Amino acid sequence: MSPASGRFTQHDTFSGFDTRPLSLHKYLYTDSDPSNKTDPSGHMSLGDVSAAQNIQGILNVVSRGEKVLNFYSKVNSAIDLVLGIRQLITMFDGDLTASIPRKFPPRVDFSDAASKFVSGAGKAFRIGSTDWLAGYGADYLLGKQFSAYVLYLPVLVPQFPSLLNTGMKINGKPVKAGLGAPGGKIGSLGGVGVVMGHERMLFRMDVGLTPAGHITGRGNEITTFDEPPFSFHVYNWRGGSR
Amino acid sequence: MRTPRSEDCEHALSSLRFFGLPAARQIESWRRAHNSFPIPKFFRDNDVEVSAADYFFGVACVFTTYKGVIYDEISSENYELMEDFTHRLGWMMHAGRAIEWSAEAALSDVAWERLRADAVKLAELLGSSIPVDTPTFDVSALIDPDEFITSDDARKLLG
Repeated sequence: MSPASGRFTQHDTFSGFDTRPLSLHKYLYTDSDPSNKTDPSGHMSLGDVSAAQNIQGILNVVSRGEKVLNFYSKVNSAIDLVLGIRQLITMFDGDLTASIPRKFPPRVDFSDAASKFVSGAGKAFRIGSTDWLAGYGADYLLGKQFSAYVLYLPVLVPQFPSLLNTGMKINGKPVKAGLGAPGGKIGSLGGVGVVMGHERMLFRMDVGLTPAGHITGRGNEITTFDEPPFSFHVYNWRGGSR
Repeated sequence: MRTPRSEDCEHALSSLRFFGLPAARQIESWRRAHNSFPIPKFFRDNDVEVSAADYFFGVACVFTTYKGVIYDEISSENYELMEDFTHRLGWMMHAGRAIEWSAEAALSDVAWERLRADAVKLAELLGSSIPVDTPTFDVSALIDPDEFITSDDARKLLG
């Protein structure tokens, strides 16, 4: 990007996707008993890829979210968007142009969004991983297959919820891009989920703090927490709404 | 942390069956709820008409929140019908105007008729018939309305 014009001047190769999540793996190992984390039911012999590996793969998806939010932070104009979409296409093979608003909201400061997404994701992972592993194990025993990771992209304009293929894989499983939110809601900046039997949003970061009067724990929500000026919603294995 | 499967399943099935009810019973359900529970505001207005829209939309949110249980339970041959219903309901929610969720719309709108037909068919396939007693939903207790409403912060920054 040219500092003078504030616009993209060349493609970014976005190499090194998987470097950042390694620094987050401490969340999986330092605060827990690995045998309980990986095999809460005592029955999990999961064939080619273990439950723990697949759940841990969530942290690799976070790095894609970080890249997307960094991309948004660089966008200042419609021309930037057109140039920047090419960069997004280098990240995802799917058609993501629908996720990009025509007019970028001028009052949103995305400069902190990527780092807050990474730090909040680590916290969300610590909160949710025990439930997710237990749910994964129970559903695996019922014959369900872990079929994809989902990276939810920013929802800045009302969009009908959909999932797109990205062409990327983690642990041999495809990463899908989640667009839109139910009921025309806007304000989500990113999230991570999985597809196992059905789509399950596991956590999400929103613009703004947790709304006043919010009652925690209804529906499939485990908890919320704030990473000012953003808020995180963490869901149980059933997943958040989409 | 997890709600027992049977309870989640009942929320999912009862909200599905609600959309299969005749309009008169859907309106009866709203009237009872209106007199019994606070109904979350999904539409920004205050008259009685919007209260019905808020309630119907709220029941749609209940289904959306718990529909995963049905996806877990259905057989592969019924999957497409489930997709049809959730897509149709999701599209109505996406349109998101109070008039399309009003009691009048429930009575006469063709979109509601199609949704009703899909709900009846899906409920029958799931072995869940239309209930004799009209169900009433305490929407606020079953879901987090913030999942479906753009927050004031987001509205200010993005709207």
